[in-house]
Amino acid sequence: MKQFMTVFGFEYKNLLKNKFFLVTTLLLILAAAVFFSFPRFFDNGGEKKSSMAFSGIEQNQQETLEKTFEKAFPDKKIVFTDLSIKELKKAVEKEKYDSAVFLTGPASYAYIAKNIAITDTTGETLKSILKTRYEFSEMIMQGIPPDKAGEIISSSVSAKIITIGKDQTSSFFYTYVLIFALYMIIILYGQLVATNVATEKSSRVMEILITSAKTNHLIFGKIIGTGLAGLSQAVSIFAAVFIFCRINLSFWEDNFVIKTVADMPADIMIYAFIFSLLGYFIYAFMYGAIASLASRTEDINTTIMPVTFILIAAFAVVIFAMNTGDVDSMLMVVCSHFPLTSPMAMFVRISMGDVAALEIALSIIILFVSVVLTGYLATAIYRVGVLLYGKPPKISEVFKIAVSKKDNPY
Amino acid sequence: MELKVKDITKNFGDNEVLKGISFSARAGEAFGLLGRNGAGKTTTMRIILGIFKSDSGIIEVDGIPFDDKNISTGYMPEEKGLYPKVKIADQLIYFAMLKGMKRNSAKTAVEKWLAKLDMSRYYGTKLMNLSKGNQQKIQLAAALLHEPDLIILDEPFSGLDPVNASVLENIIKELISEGRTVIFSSHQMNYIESFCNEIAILKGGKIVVDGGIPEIKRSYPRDRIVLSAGDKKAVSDHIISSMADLTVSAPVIKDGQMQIKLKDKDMKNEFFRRIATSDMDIDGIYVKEPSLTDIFVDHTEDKEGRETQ
Repeated sequence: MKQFMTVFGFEYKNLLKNKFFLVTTLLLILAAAVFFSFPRFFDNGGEKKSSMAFSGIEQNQQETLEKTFEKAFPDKKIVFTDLSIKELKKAVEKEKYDSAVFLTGPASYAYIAKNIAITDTTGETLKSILKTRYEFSEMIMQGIPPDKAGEIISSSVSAKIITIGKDQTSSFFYTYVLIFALYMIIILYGQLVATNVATEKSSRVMEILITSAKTNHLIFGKIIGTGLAGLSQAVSIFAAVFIFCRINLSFWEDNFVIKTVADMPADIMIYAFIFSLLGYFIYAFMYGAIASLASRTEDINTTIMPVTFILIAAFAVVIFAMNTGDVDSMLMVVCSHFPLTSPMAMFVRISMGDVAALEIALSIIILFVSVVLTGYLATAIYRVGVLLYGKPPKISEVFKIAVSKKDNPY
Repeated sequence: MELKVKDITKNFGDNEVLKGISFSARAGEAFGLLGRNGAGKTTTMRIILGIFKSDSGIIEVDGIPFDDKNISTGYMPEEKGLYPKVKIADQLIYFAMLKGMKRNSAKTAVEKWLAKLDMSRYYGTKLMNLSKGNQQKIQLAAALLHEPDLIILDEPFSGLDPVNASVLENIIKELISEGRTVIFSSHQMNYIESFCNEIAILKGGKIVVDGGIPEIKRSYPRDRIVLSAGDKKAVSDHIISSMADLTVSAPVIKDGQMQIKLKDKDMKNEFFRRIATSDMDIDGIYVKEPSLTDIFVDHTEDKEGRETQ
């Protein structure tokens, strides 16, 4: 245990002292601060409203329509003119007005703007206003009293949405953020373990280590040390995101994505933590074991590729399910119990789908047992792998040696 | 303390690397393992340290099977292994703690050893910023920090300049005088002769010669004659023309002297008689004491072994 603690402490401190690691953490915290504080400094509250000119409207109707338009376009300054459509075009061109509308008839209009953004809904709003106005005037013409006509026009359909499972409209975004974080935690810190193992092997530090400590203390210390350092980094970044998001939340009122992410349920965060941790461990053990077979650090990328592929495949399956909305499909049910895919698949099902508590418990138990088994198997492979130099052996050969009772035949 | 290696064998797949190695090393003495590359020296050392398990044979300390829980070991591998990007003090403290020392005593030991090796100024330096020789000294410190009883040094002198080699030489002598057991391998025979009481020369996984150096030398055939003369050409011509029945080949000039190898050590007296009765102008003549290099070359030059790890 003392040796494990020594290895653990060394790995943890080394990573925290690593300048690149520190700078990356600080930069990400800074990025979170800048991103969430951005609207605070660029709040357009005091900014001049863009102007919108209306023409072709009789003077006696201007007063009532002004109110309607002001209500429909709160960010625009409404101006009435009697310019022709040509003159309006010129005025917009010369930036006298930011945009203009010319009513060509009771239910037809021309909208003039320099550029129309993809999010510009002015056209739809105008159509709706003019349609209502036209319907109202037609009803009056048909002899319906104005108050009755107003009642008909303003009648609306009321609806109440009752969700039995999860409301994916809000859960999608925070699940997306968390699943991406989970994937990044597993792949980044898992590969960090692989690189460290390969560096120790190629620099032959392993010869000293292996004569000084037990291999299980070495690999467990390394993986848990790296994991905790990674966790410290991830927690710092997430805390920064959370704090800066909360501080500046009032400036993000209109942003549905940020709002749903900021309001993500606590239990989802706890599940994300559990699955990140278990997911990291199962992949880190695999990365550590496979990396022990590489003789040079240059070979590390190709050696660990099979493990990375499994992780990418799991990520792809989960993202596809999220995009289709069918997170409880048969494939996802299987994936959410298979230990190499369950950290992401089960998390998505918990967050966006309908999954029984028993299923969650079963998945976590399978994953936990798999982590322990992978840990023991990884130690056995590592013990053989770290002393093999030259051409990397076939994984099947090493696997046979590792599971055989014969202790380190090399 | 006496470490006994008894008949150890080791195969790597179909390759038989050790074919029954036996020797003993005692406290307060240095034991030299000699052999060409691939002879099995490193594998023998790794088996003693428990990195590999032997296929058969046993290693005992004072008659009890060797267990590194009871005997503290220090190892300096041939391929130097340290963390290039970690500060020297940090990694040395780490290695000492892995060997069971507490942080404070590890720190004190690191300071002591760095001072001893004249490396104190590199305490907070990253290893990669040091020269090869200085890295080697740090490697030595890593092996000795925890004051081990059994010290195994694999090629400790390779890559050291004469000044650093002399520092290492003094340290090894000190370790021996402190009663530690030192096993080391080297291709530099002068160091082996300087420290070792006993040696074993390995070839193809077998010991071909072993024992005390003086005994090995004494048992070595005294069939080489060293001769100095003013006119070496005339003497050489005389030996070739009238003494070819006694010599293996023509005399060889080495270090300004002529060396002659006889067909048999018993031909010495006949050689002396004939030279003395010739009219050659001879300044001096004596039987050459074999050097360890001569013995090493004689026993290892023909076939090749293979270093597997």
